Amino acid sequence: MKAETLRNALHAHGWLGLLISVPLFIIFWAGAITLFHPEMQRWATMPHYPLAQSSQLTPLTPIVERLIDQYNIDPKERISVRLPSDHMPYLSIFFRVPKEENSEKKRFVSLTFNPQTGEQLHDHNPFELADFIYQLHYNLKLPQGLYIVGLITLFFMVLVFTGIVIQLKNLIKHFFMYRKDRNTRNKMNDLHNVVGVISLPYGLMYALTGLMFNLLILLQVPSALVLYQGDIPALSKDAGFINFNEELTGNPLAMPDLNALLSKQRAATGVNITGINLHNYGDESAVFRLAGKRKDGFAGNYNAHYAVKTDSFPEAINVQGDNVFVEGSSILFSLHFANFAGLDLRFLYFVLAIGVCGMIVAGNVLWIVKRQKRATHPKTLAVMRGLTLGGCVGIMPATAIAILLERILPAGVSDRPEVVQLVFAGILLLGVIAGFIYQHHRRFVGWGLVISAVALTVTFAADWLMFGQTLLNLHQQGFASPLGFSMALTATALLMSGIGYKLLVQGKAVEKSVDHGSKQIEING
Amino acid sequence: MWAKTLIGLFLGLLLAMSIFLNIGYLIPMPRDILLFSGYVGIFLAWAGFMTWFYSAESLKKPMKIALPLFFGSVGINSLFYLGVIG
Repeated sequence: MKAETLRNALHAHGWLGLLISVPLFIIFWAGAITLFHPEMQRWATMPHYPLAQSSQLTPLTPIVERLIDQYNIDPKERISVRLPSDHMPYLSIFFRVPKEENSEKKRFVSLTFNPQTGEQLHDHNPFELADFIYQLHYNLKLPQGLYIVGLITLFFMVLVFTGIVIQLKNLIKHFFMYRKDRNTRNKMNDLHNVVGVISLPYGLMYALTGLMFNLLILLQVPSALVLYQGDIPALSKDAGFINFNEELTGNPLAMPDLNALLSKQRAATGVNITGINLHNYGDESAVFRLAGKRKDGFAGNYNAHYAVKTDSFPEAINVQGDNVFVEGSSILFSLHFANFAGLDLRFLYFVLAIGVCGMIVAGNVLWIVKRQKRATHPKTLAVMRGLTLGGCVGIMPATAIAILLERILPAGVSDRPEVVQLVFAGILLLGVIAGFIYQHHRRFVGWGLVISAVALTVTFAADWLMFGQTLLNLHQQGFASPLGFSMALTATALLMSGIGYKLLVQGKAVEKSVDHGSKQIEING
Repeated sequence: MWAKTLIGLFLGLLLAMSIFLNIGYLIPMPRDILLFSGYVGIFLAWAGFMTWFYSAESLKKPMKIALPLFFGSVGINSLFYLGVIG
């Protein structure tokens, strides 16, 4: 590789990395936490609405028909029923209701029920932190965020490629090189390289699948226009997607018992069906989409459209045979979500994601240390330090304090999810401002970790003071997630406080040696 | 840097799409395989082209290859699309 090529790749790698570092850090940080979305959701919700372990499912049809009457649901609207699963132990039903006066949009209603008794638990989920963090992961909670994240993911892939160009020669030779006794720059450089090389396949997989999630539309439109001459249904069918869009006939038809249909289909296919979407309910044209996960194979998603009138799964509305696009995408997406994996493998994913976060901070520190030495443009440097280091470090206490609020705020507080999100955003902003003011990056990272550790420790204490007995009862009932998540928070707090304390001590020592050095220069001078 | 970014973004995407469309026209394969390999390949090629542009000393060098490649590729696609060949 020519030296000139390496220099250009390094230049692009540094600048691109710096520019996308904060959103990329947030995407990976939120993604790492989202790997435990089911556990977090259960931890937040279940102490408030405890359940007994049972496979009994309340009759679904009377609930659906009562809701249709109660909310005057348009038969054309889809009614989605999510059954209790490993992800969430409750029954939830959501749909849109007709526009109200003074309203431009149809209202979205999401209801949660006790799956055994059918009792309605709430009509507005007060525990949305896990969903909020998931949204941060894929759209940063920004308008058009899906495409912004897509673009950041593209640049992340370019960073991976330029990283390969830079490291290609040393990939094997310096694989285990970490010079812990050298200066900050060398240590950060080694940390950045080691994590980058180890997480290379993981990073590449995330870059590719993230792009496919967020920017697929860029390829769909030209494919539809050029390859299919605008025939979008034909493209959807080749890609294995069935968009049910049948008009209502106006002829009423008696609907089958949903529990019986589920049992029959589970017995026939062996699939664990976790959701049913009801289209044109009550009409002759009614179709139910059954979705679930096949028990065989690596990424076996199951989707089938059931036509009520003919009591069958017609070929016209079901994908026939194996479809490479469906199978391939499903494998890639399973790799992304790690939904094929148990807790142990998800933990490994989590460690790698946090490793990538560490790599991003190390990259930023490298950039800042390099510029600090030159001592030119101190204001620009302070802005970049605030935006990059402040943003990356600030998200840690922001998340920890949001988790604390998710536990201690009463479920009945109005606009509870919004309060949690606002506090999260406020602390993140404070982090950026503190990064702008605070010059010692090592101590700054240390403080971020210590504050987060304190918040998580208080959360653990609140867990036991508020719901100690409930957590133990749930654990005895076989719901291990709430207690497990609480314990995981404590372990994280211990780890964060340990690293944070070490960084604070090291930071103080470095400051002292710098002060001593400058005094010596003054005396000698 | 900005010029490399902008040209890399747009020309990289168009070039990647056009090349994969060439493959689709020239190598007969089932549509589901074409769509899957195309969607995966285009994203990888797009980032690859951008890396190529960034790694060059100036844009001139990669453009000397990328532009003729792009027009050649679009030309082949046009011939297929208009039914002149295929």
